[in-house]
Amino acid sequence: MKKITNYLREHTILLTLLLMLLLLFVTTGRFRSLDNFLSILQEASFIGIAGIGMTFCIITGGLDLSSGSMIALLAVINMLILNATNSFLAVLAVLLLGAALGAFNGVLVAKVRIPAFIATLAAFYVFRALAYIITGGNPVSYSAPWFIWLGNGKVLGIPFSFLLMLVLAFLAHLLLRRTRIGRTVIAVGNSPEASRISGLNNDRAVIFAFMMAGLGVAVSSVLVSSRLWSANPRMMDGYEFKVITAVVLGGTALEGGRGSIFNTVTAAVFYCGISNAMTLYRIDSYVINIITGMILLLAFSLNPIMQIMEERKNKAEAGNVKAGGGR
Amino acid sequence: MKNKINVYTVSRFVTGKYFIFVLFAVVSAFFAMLAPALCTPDSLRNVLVSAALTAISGCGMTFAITLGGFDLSAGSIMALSTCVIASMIPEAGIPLAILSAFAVSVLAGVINGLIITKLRIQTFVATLATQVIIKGLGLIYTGGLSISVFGYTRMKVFSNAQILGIPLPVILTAAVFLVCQFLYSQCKFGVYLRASGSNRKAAELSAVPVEKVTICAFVMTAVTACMSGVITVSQVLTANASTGGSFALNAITVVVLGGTSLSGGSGFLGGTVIAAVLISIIENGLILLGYSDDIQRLVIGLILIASLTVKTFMTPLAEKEVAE
Repeated sequence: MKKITNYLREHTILLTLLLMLLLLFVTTGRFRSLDNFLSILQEASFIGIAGIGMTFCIITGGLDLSSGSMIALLAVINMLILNATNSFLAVLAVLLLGAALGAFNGVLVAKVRIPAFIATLAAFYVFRALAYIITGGNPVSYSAPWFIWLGNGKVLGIPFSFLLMLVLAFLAHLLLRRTRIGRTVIAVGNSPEASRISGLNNDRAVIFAFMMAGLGVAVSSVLVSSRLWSANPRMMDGYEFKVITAVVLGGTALEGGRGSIFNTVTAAVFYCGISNAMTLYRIDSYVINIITGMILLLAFSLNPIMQIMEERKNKAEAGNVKAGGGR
Repeated sequence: MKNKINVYTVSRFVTGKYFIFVLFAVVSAFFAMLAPALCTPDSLRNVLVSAALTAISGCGMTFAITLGGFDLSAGSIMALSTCVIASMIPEAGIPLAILSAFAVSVLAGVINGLIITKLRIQTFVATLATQVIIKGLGLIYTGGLSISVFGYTRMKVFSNAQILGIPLPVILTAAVFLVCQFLYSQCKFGVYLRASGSNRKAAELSAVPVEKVTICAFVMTAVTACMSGVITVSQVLTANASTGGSFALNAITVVVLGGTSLSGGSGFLGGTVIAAVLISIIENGLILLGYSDDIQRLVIGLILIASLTVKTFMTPLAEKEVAE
């Protein structure tokens, strides 16, 4: 019984979103169609894959504001290299470049000790500017069939990008829970001081986490530009906030120390599902803005409110039993 | 580490509160040499006028950051207030329109503050959500269209008028700065603000009204955003609810560049204003040198990184350990 209540408590946000989805499922006919579901899964993977990397970053107590600019920069570079070489190596190059840009952010945060918010804010300006400079502000397109397949193709009827997200989520989960560097990432987020004293390499973990964020963005950039057949330096403005929203909705705390890759991915799917349903409901796009914001507020306030209620309960239970748990 | 004392004193000066002044001197000297056209009175006036928007909203943002938070919704509040002003001018007249915009933004600030204090949501996510909501409200209010008030040239006063040769936006900036500085350093509010920002728990235990202070700080960011909105409408005589995308981030940039610490507890309003002018010099200087706005963004990003890097590496080790 206690296990169940614990589970419910840890997944409040996701369960609330699930409830909303079920409600929409029952009430809208068009929402129930298979095609619509598949397109939601596809949309979700563009956010979810970057979310996987961002989860690492947020677990360390950091944050990456540069994702939106980075995805534009990487997508543009990807298209330019593809046009020049026609080779799949372009995709590999972009993945490497994404990891490198992420690591650059990580070095600024870990070694140069610039707060993550500011370091990635600077990167937000720089990457977007570079994307404009490289292309001169013009869109670039590329439409070789193999490349288009990446973002549009299906395996056994399921979008490839969604399957890729699942595989990456699984790998990232192992990386986070089962490897030394992953455990260090969590330790740094919990208490940098404690993990330093225990002889862990904090800086390396932080740089690694930002590198993962960059890598996630790089994979998304390939998928998105393949989906659109083109890329332009203006694209994906505000993307970083969507990614951060998915991660936070998944229950990863912004102050760091805990989080789950699978919850991020699930939250991305639910988030896209709900905005998709609102469109199908023919809700005015301006009103969708407001409803989205309200859902965010509701989701974010659930945990604090439960915390407040718990505190009250603990107080009521009087002080001789020391309340453990809780951060 | 031969001349330890020497390095220590120099680096203290350079990396301390006054770092922004050093940076300002270096960068403006650089542009004064490369682009002499920047030094004419007209162009200097332009520099100051274009600094006004970020300087004013930066002053408000300094309060939020001193609390250890952010206000990402400032851009949406600015956009909403421009829409309120532009839509009300034809019927209600200019003064009433501006008053209503201020009322709306005070309300927005109070709501931000209540969400943060009562629901205990972190400022980053709370204002991220209200940013979306306020923008949505603005879009519904205007139907997504731009509102033009080209006929009402009296509105131009807020950007065109000059007193003793000084443009009104600059005077407004100075006034906002003085009021904020007074609140920050001379009033109880400022003491409470710094106390809540540096250690919230301790402040609560010392009977500092942390919640009220938080709400006031977010009202300040909203009101200053609205003031920037007034100047914006006056400059372009149009309003659109979907503007203001990078407004909040620009304001945060100048606050941080000015030397306010993101960890809260110590704000530096003078630095914020100087940093806003610095950014404006960079932008105008680069335009005079014939560069596009892509290069401007690149330079601003690099200067942000460079200035914080210099600060980190010049801060003496002893101080670093204390800070940690």
